[in-house]
Amino acid sequence: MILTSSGDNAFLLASSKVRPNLLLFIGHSHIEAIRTALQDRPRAGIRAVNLRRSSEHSILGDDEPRTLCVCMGGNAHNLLGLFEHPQPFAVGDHSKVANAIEGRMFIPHAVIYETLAHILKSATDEMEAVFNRYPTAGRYCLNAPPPVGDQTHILEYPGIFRDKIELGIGPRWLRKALYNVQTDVFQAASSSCGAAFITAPEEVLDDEGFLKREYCSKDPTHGNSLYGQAVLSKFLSKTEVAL
Amino acid sequence: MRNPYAGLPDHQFWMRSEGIADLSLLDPVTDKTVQICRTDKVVTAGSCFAQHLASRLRASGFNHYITEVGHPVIPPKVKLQNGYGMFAARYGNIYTARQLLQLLHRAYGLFEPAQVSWSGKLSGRVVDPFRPQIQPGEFLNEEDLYYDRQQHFAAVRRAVEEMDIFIFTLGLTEAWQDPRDGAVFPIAPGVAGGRHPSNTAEFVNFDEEITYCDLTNALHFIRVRNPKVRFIITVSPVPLNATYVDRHVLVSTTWSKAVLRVAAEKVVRLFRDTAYFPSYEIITSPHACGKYYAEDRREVTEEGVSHVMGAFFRNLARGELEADVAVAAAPHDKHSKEMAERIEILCDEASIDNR
Repeated sequence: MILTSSGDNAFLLASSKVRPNLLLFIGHSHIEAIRTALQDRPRAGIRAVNLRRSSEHSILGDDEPRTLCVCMGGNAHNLLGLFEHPQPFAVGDHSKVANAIEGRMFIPHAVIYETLAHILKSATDEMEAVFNRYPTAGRYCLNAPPPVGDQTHILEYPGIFRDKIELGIGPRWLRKALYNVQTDVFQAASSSCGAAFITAPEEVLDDEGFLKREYCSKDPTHGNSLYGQAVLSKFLSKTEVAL
Repeated sequence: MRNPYAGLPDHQFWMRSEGIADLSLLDPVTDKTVQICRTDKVVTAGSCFAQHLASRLRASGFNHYITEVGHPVIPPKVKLQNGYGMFAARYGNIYTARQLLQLLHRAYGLFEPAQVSWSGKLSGRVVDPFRPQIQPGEFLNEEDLYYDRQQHFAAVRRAVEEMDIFIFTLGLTEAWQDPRDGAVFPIAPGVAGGRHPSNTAEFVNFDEEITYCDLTNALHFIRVRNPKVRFIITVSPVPLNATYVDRHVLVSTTWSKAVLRVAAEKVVRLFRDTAYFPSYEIITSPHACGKYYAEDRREVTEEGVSHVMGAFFRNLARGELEADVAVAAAPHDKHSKEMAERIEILCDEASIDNR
């Protein structure tokens, strides 16, 4: 069976057999945090598959999971806000933006919501396709990690974005607002698939809801193994999935 | 003995004017004093028929001037759904001359209606009472609406002060206004875009004197701020969708269009560099035998719009039709494209170090 994914990432699922105790995390790059967490501390009955890793395509489908947790895409907020846009903008948000709008083009909340929904459409479509592939599995949708709060971390590990540094890191309020809107998009997609929505654990967040540095990967957008451990712990305690 | 009509041009005689035998030859445009070239900044406003004019201008490579373009990160499809690029600014349809005048006054801070927002159809959301359909997702709250409105007003002011040509299509005479301050809403409260208690808006039907005064005041307001601007006034051929007056909607339509046509004529006589363009006459002409109306006998067909715009370009854009002018490409958000490519690469990397 072919499930479509973005670009060339269509993957093949062989005919499957039910594996009652399997918890499968499946998605894109944000799954890496869980995958590496499981490498560090293997847990029976839990598998994490990054569909962007071609080598893992083939291991899919050997077993049908009892529980499925999907985390597709999730960096659209960084696309728009990690670095200041050459034409700075502000967005409508639940928080006050009065002091921040000066010199910025304003984008109303509904318009930025539709913008992020448009950017994330391939991810949310793929999420639906994966859920449909395993119709009997328990459904969960894992939110992407929040934006990195520590600006020195971003400057230390800009990676592929090095030449964008001169634009300046996006303002915190904007990055948080964009993440909140993205979360709303995923929450709506999750709800329409009948999946429970899992947010980042409290302990990984700073006072303003950003990802603490110790949970950051060595790049400006992803969580690390420690973040993966925290997510796994929250997931297992919240869902009481039997493994 | 010669009569007073002797020697007058053929277009002043029904039987000698073209278009009776062959509809495609119908061309009632005689006032060609306002000419458009492709570099002119053309701003359009008015009823839904004005949208046809705007889209045909764009498609023909004319400079349909947009001052509220929306940020480049917003995809074209989302912009379209949210009224960006439909008109110069996101004012939506402007049905009455009073609505146009009040928009100008509001944009320049001369009028601040008591009604700030209407509650939306979506839970907790609000809509703009003066453009209730501009954003299907409505506004998050009054603050969201406030900032967008300030930006919108700035775009209206830019359009007023920078345009070369203003094409206004008169659409309706019937409207609903706030009894507290006379603020006119484009659509009756509760019809679309929000709910509103019926006792806070009252019905009004503007006659030819009021419409003439409002349109005169609006055009004067613009001309004071932009002396070089030229005006083209049209009347929408689209009949009323509904009338609040207790009579047949066709009778109300005839009354309204007559009012608008008279007001347009008087205004054109009053202002220099101002022309009336007979889109209403082309569509409703006996020559067309109703074929320029869709099956609902209300919407104008593409064929009808093509006839109107053919006459428009032939008469008001002489010398421009054959000009080989490149249509400006839509602005491209290079930054977002680069960010998307890099995030794709980053997220695809098998070597992500998550430690």
